[in-house]
Amino acid sequence: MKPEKFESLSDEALHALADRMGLSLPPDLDRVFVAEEILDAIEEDSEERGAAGLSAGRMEETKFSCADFLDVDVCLEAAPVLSPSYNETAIKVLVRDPSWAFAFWEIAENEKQALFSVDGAMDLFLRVCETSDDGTPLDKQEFFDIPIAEEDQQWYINLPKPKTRYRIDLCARLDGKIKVLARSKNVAVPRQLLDENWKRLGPGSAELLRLSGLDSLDIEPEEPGNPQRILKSGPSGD
Amino acid sequence: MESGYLALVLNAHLPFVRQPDYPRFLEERWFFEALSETYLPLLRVFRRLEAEDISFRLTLSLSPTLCAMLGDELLGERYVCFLDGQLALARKEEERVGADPVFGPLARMYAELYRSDREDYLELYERDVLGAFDYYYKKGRIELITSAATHAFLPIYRDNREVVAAQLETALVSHRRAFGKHPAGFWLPHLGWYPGLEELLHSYNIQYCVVGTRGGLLGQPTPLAGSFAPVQCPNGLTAFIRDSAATEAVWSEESGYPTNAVYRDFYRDIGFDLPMDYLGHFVEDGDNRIYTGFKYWAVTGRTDDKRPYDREAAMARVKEDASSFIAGRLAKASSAAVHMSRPPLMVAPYDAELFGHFWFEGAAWLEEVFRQAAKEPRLSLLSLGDYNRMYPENQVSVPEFSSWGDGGFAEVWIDGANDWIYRHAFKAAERMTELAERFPDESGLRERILNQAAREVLLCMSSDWALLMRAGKSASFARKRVEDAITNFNRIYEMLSSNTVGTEWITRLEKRNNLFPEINYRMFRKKH
Repeated sequence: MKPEKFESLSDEALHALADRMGLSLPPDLDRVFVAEEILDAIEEDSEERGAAGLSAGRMEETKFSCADFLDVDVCLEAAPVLSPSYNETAIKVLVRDPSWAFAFWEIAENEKQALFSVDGAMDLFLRVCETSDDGTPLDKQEFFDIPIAEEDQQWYINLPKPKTRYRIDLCARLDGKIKVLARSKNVAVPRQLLDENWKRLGPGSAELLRLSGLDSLDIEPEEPGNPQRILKSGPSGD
Repeated sequence: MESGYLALVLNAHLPFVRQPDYPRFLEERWFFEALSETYLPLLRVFRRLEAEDISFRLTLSLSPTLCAMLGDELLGERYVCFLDGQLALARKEEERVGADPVFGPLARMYAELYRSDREDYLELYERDVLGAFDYYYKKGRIELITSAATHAFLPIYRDNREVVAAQLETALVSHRRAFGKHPAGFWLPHLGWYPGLEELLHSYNIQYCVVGTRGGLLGQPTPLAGSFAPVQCPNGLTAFIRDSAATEAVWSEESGYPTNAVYRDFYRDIGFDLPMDYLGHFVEDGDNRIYTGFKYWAVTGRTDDKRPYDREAAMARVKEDASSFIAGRLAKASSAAVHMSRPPLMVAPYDAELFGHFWFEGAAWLEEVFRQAAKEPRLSLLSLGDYNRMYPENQVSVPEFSSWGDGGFAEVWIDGANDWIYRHAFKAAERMTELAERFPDESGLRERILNQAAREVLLCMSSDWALLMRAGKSASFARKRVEDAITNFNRIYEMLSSNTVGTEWITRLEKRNNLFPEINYRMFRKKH
């Protein structure tokens, strides 16, 4: 991509592009430097993609190649801007893989004003609770809290255990009292290891699993007492 | 007795890229290129095999958005213009390099490709490509199945039953409209599966689907035959498990067949090599070079110093690679067979557009696989439906949430580059259900408006846009497609909430996003 590509973009559009690419730049940074940062990020991203290898998912991208995408990808002016707000208090959680979930939320304006108008200390946080398979709370509640700022609207949350169900509450703590503002549905985190009953499968099945590509998928048999946890996340897909 | 069964499964899919508001539109080329380099060449493969009475079996998913575009009159007109443009460039190329002993034959090869495409499209199939596939479907040569309406990555929407049901229902209606039959199988976009999906699939009378190797092997309980036999969900839905070795043999960037040095290089294209004034309209907006489809160089290796493409050497390699593929499957089948009470099955699913578009020789390779397999008594090619009828009973197991994307789960579709989509997509779906509940018995204009709202909700969920945003390819186009669909939906929602109707605008929108003419917005009603 050539730096001239940015000439048609306003300062605002250029900064918006940098924001979308996850670049944290000072708002008053000269446009020349903003463009350079964007170019560097694109180059770095391109190199990372090249090094990551081509999985089935990445092969899917090739059918969309009818141009050098880097050269035609800066045409953001016409895009309508969607408001990130629906003025409601809600939280939703999407499980991404055995160790991460994506949570996004919103607090309705009137509720937010009410919270912040109260005298005394107030802080917001997410409470990540483990639940039983059918979604009911566990006898012994297991949870952890993640502090969030007023302007936050989403987080990627590292989940402690695969093969587990979680619920995430959007909470406010007012003078030590907790108020649940919104509650997500229970979500199921997938397993990443073979069921421990694999040992009872017999040598024939063990060999069929091996021939099926168990090793190349980094799926290991689960051992009793060995908690499931992602230790590595490779680029290989399925 | 056979040593093994091989089920080749192709997923033909492109997102809805029709743009009638512009005289020509870059992303429509995805569709034209796939038609020229994959779908029509694939039909020529079927035609040759049938003419020579060579048996072949294949499961082919034609996605609803692709079916909509294949049946669209405007895109048909534009495709003919595209072919005329390609043929004009072919003539220029024949003038430019025709006398060259190396490049001359290649220019003529492309001229012949586009001439064949034009002849097949206009004269043989009379623009009815769906009808051409249907011919082989009805003759029992191929088995056609469908996929999610807009290729949504279903695990993301698992908590919204109405969305998944709408994706399924619209797909089934689209398939019946195109082919007059209910499909037995369902292609899960990106092989995206989650436990519980079997309930909806089964309720729509789907008999089978394919899941990723990871999801299959992590199923509960562990499948005793690995990926060499399907599993059956407790409700009877069959889940075939992708054979990782068969897929790797073709798709591996390091060692897959398309990486062989003699095959045609996809990236080196005259669109980036020749002067802009020569390329004419193959330059977008005056300074953006695009792929023309005319590529004269071989893969060669990881170097910019490419060797000229040698068609004869490439076609010889096709035969060798087809032999190697079959030998590899036979070897695997023979290793697995000793541990099984029935011949092992290897399910090899691929994106159809790989064959011909990215891997130029891919369609020829498929043809050669069919030819060689027909002479190999130890390996039977079959469709997934064939196998399902032959072995209706399988081990009961429920696959784990998985996909064939990077990482094996949902990393591709839930990423910093695309996660913003879901706040809006879920809200639009929730509001669509609200509208369907509020207005369950509408007719006339209001029904049209509600149906268009349903189209826009489905369009914003197309997984291709998330994929492109993450890849950084045409990302702003992808972003705009999602934003447009959500903006259109929100406008309709506001119109209906305030009881004002912009008839002219809605009519324009219906003409622009004209897919799924039989859509019924009521499918978004609450599922109890």
